[in-house]
Amino acid sequence: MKCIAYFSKAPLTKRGICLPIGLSDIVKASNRNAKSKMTGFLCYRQGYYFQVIEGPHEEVEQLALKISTDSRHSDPCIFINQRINKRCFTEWRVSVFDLIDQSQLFKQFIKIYKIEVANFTEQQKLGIQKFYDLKNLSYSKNYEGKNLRLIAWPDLNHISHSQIVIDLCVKLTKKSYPFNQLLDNEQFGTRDQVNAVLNQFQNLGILTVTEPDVLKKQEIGIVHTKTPSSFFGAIKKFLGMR
Amino acid sequence: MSNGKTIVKPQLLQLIEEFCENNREVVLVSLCTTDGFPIKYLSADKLSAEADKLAAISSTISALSDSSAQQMQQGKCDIIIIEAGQGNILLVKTSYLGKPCVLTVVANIKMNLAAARYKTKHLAQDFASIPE
Amino acid sequence: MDYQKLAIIGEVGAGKTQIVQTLSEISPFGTEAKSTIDIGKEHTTVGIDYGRITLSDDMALGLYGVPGQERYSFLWEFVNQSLWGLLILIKYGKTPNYENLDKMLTFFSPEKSETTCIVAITHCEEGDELSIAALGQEIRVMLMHHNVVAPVINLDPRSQESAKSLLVLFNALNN
Repeated sequence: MKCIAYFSKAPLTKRGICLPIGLSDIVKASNRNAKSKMTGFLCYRQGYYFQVIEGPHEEVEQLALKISTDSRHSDPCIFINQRINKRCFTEWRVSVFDLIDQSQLFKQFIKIYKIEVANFTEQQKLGIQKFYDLKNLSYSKNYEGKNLRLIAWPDLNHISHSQIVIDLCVKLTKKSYPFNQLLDNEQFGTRDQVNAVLNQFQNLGILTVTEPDVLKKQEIGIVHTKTPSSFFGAIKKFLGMR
Repeated sequence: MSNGKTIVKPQLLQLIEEFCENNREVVLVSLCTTDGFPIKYLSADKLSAEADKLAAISSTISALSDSSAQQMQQGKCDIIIIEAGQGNILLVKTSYLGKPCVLTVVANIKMNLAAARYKTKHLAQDFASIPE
Repeated sequence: MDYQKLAIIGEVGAGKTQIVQTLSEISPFGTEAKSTIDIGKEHTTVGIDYGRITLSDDMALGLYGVPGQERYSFLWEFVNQSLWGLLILIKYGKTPNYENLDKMLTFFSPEKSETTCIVAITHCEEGDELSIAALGQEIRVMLMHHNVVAPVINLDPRSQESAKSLLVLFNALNN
């Protein structure tokens, strides 16, 4: 049996944007691995791919060759290429998280290959840092007294898409809100419920947590209750909502 | 099905060139498919337009006019005429090598509208008669 | 008369004509032509798909579907003013044409005009959860590069329920 691990770059578009073009095709194709005797995982994050493949020697070699000539990525850096007696992964997984690494897959991988990782060159460390924070920072999950804002919408297929969560996303994607204001009238649930959702956002890496601006403290006191327009009400009525 | 590129037969080229030769007031002749792919266009220097865009515009106007004529219960759209300050734009549906197409003719103000209409319709019929 | 517009844009076969048909209370006005190339269906939109939802005596929402191909970009101008929302449809299947999506996002600039924008993936029934998530990922990266903060959802344009939940989201975003 053999194991190969590498990271590589996603291609640049004509406008110089790093975009995982064809990621869904890659995922579809790599799902064939699940049906064959291959185990391991494939990840994408911030313009980089990371893949670990384990399986029968011949098949892994063939797959590695195919991957090295695939035009959907560039500059592959293979840092593990060795025979193994035992698989580390029991199945084939694909993870397409983007902004943060909290994946069990990595923790598992780093643990198993900790000797190799410790011997990484600076360049290899930089490459893997995209996927795993080697300093292993833990994020503060106390939002008391902080301002919160979402920099992107979460994948609503992986996070609850209840009306409350959607309303919270609508609010936080428009501007920053103090944590305490989100607890007003339990409009988004209890303190624990709001914390839980914010934790999920933080794990996805889409939540920015900042200190309240001292100068704007007085402004924050003003609760922005916009009177919904009549158009909004009319649409609600049309949709059969109260 | 084809990949969008339609063959330009020598007869088509000849018809368009003769049309322009015999009618100097014509500043543009364009043939495109009804779904907006250009086949051939010939234009006077001062009117330069991207073939792609022109084909798209012609297909939109043609389809829009068809829908409008039907919605207003006036039967099928026969010919579309846009009278502008410096000339007239005429669009008529035709076919070429079995494909539904739109012929666009732009004639400057010196050309009489009735003549432009008659000649454009005639040209459309000629295109449809080109054997496959 | 409070008349607002919802512009629907996307590549061939994404479902623009269908969503207008599903939502519109009037029989939609379409501009279709027979396709001369293989696009997986007989007809394609070469103009505007128009539909309407009447909300009251003096309020209505106009639905405008426009083709996403660049050569039809002159039509985008007709639907770029005072929009209630911009819906971008992306068909699950082959890799989307990101150059085209880039041009659409540059033209409409929803972040500059502060237009509410939602991106919807159609034909999801043809895919598995992971590949759809991966497609959502590609799209989100593209959106971030345009500083567009928009939800990416799954939509079945043939379904009344799916279409209505889309309007619920637009309405919530516009509040």
